[in-house]
Amino acid sequence: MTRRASMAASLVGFGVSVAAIFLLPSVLELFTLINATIYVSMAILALSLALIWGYGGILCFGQAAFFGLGGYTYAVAAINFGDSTWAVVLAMVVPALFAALLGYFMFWGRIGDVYLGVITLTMTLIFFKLFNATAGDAYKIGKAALGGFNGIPSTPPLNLPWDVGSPLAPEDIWYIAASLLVLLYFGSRWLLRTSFGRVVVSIRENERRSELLGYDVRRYKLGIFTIGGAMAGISGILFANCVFVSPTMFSLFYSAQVIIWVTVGGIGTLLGPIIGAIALQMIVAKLGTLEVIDPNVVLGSILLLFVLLVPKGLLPLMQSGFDRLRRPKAPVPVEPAIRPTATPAARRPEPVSAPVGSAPATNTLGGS
Amino acid sequence: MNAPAATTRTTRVEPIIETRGLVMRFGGVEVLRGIDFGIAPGELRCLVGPNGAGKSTFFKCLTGQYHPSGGEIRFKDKAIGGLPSVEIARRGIGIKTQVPSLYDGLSAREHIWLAVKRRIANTGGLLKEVPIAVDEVMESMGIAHLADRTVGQLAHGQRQMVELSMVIGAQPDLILLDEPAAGMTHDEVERLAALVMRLRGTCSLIVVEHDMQFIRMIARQVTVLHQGQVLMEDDVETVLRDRRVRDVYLGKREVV
Amino acid sequence: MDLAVVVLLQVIAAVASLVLISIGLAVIFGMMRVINLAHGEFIMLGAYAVIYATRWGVNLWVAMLVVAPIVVGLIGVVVERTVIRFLYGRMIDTMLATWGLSLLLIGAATMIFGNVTAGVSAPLGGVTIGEYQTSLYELVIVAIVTAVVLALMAVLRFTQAGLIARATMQNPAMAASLGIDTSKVYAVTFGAGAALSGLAGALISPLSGVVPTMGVAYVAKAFITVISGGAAIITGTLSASTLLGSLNTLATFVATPVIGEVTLLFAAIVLLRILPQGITGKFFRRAL
Repeated sequence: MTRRASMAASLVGFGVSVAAIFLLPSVLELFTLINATIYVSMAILALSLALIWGYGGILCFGQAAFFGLGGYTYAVAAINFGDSTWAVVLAMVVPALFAALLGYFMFWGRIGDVYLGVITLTMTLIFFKLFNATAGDAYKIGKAALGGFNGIPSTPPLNLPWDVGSPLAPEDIWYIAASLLVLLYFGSRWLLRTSFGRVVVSIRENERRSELLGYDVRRYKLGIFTIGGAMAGISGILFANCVFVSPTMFSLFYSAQVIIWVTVGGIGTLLGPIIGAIALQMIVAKLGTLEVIDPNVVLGSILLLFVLLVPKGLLPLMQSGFDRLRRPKAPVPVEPAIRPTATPAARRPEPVSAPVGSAPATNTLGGS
Repeated sequence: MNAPAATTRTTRVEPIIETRGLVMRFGGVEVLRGIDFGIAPGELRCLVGPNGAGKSTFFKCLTGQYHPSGGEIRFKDKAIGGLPSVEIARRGIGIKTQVPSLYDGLSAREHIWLAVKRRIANTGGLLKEVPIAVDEVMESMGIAHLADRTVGQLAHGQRQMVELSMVIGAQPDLILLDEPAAGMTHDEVERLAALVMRLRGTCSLIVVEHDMQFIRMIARQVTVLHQGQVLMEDDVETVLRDRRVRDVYLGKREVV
Repeated sequence: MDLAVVVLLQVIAAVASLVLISIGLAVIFGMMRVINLAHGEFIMLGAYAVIYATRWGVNLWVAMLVVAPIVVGLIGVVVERTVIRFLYGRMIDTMLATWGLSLLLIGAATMIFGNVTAGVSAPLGGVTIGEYQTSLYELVIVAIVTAVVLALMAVLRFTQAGLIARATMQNPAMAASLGIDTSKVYAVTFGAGAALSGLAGALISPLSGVVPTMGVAYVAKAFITVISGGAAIITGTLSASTLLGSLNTLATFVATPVIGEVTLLFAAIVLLRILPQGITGKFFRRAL
């Protein structure tokens, strides 16, 4: 796509999403709208992993740790403060700080791919076990009882900033969640076009090279990891507002799901994981009501089939199909759509184009 | 410190880089066995030697990819042996590796941008100067027409040029080139030689090469490495005429 | 005194159970550099094999020591032929694919066996040491694990099959040029690893409830034990199990089982930070 086409596509996408945000509450029943809000919060979680894994090249199997930490921080802080305003801030800061700490530990230790996966997964498991063991009065943070396996059913909803008397209705939370998703998506695109973002992508492509150019790769990895952690925290806040917080937020189920969404949607893209998250949750929910087949069978098969047959994911597949359709009319011969085979370490199909639609690399340089 | 004494043979000028007794062991194998080496600022030095002589290992020690097992490396009169690669790169050593090390998914322009941005950030310059400087580098290196091509799709010689432009774009004080002419066409080799000659004087260079034609085009001083030690060091014609050097290379041919 | 003996026995039992749940994964990872995230489900299938075999009248010990390893080993071969063999050399993809397989197997097991807890009662009684009692079955497990480890070492070191397997893993191209059918070696190795996981599940089945999701509890523990152990299959697994198992038991003894588990996981993380290549990446490098 040319830059103009990419801009146009962005504008159209933006328009459609704004329209959807405002139309859905009048179309959907309340229950469905709350479910839609959950999907959106999960899409934000997928976006956070898309940044960390797809662009940072950091194989994080424990995105659920930041997600759960965000949720719990929000719930505990909101119960204690009575007002959700600072709780929201804390629920972003705590996962970000934790990500920074974990990242420091891992990146300064020069821990490789697979080991990163193990450590992040283990961390999630630790949280899962700890929070499951917090039943009883002994485990209280201030006024908030952690509730062990049951979590905190009384997780308070968001209220207007500094106005405890005005809790938000589910419709309002939908508006906030959906706008946040759009905002974070465009924010991520912007981030990847900054010089920070470009260096992050270069490290994913060839860490050694960036190092020999004099970039301290550890800092950049730490940066993107921390940002991803904060974003997962936001997702946790929204989730806590739709459901309530419980140790399942730290479960392998969420860690696995978010990996599946990113893989299916297309690693190395931002939009793909968002679409993957929403589409797969809808499919699983639909199957759950049919009660014919266990959702795990479907999720597992999808992941398996994608890794074997569509390793690049859905969005890059659609993009290359789209490009192939357009190509014959193009006046100037362009490179074939096939990408060089990515290294096995991290599959990264659309390295250049994804943050800016499929605009040529020129657009990521200069101006911004 | 007896730095001057060690280098009197080459020149009286303080060397920009110098190694003394540099040793690199892997398990029981000693790949570098006490290398004394030094070049003056602005000098161009060729490093030759058969496969396995330790040339690439030597470069990896200089750039911090390996931590030397013994001996000393001094760059701009500071010890750098064992420092991490990032730190060494920031102090002004750039390397073009033997196997092209590139970002296959990025465009040529992005490659140069990464190099130039680092340099400008390092010297406290303004980020808005970066795009202009990027264009200049690409223009002067003759790769402007490749700017928006994805580097993974370029021909081998073009990839070599992109990597070289990236190294030069970072404007290091010392450039290490590991077999820059490998896989290039004759025309490309000539252009490369002209380029290296142009760089001479603006920075110091150490070039590892097998291609004797290329070495004749660019070199004055040549150092011969053999089995992890300096075999001899002299001007190019003397080295190429030398009996021992020929034996070393003929020996290598027999093996191959 | 009695207490010390009991605690020591507890430590040994904990170490043995870690070795037991990890050894199948270790064989597959150590020999093939494949991280099998469906490992927990292989364990689960081993446990179900015992449940069904005993229901059909097979002797419990035969079911545990023969039926379960064979059944799960065969499943392993099928998995290798249909999934894993397309992904060699793509470590991350194998992890993802086996994770998919894991979910698939959990779902399938839920549909076939139902989401209820099945179980067999633990054979053998307890032994009394002073005023404490410990289960005889746990001691039998320790003995079986010891036997399995010794047998595995013997196979790898002294038999022709072991030599072929090691040669293939070291240098597949060379092995192939010597006329070894490498793809068969991979299939058999993966099957053997799966069989060991099946054995683990079988031996665990009397101790824990058998449910479709039971594997989840083991996979992460096995995973970090193997990774902490490093490249050497047996030495790595043994040393990591000893370290982590002892810490787990001691922390459990001092505090609670949850703290024990957390200590285990946390110790593994710290260990990997200090020794990124695992224990055998630094020590016993030439061990098996």
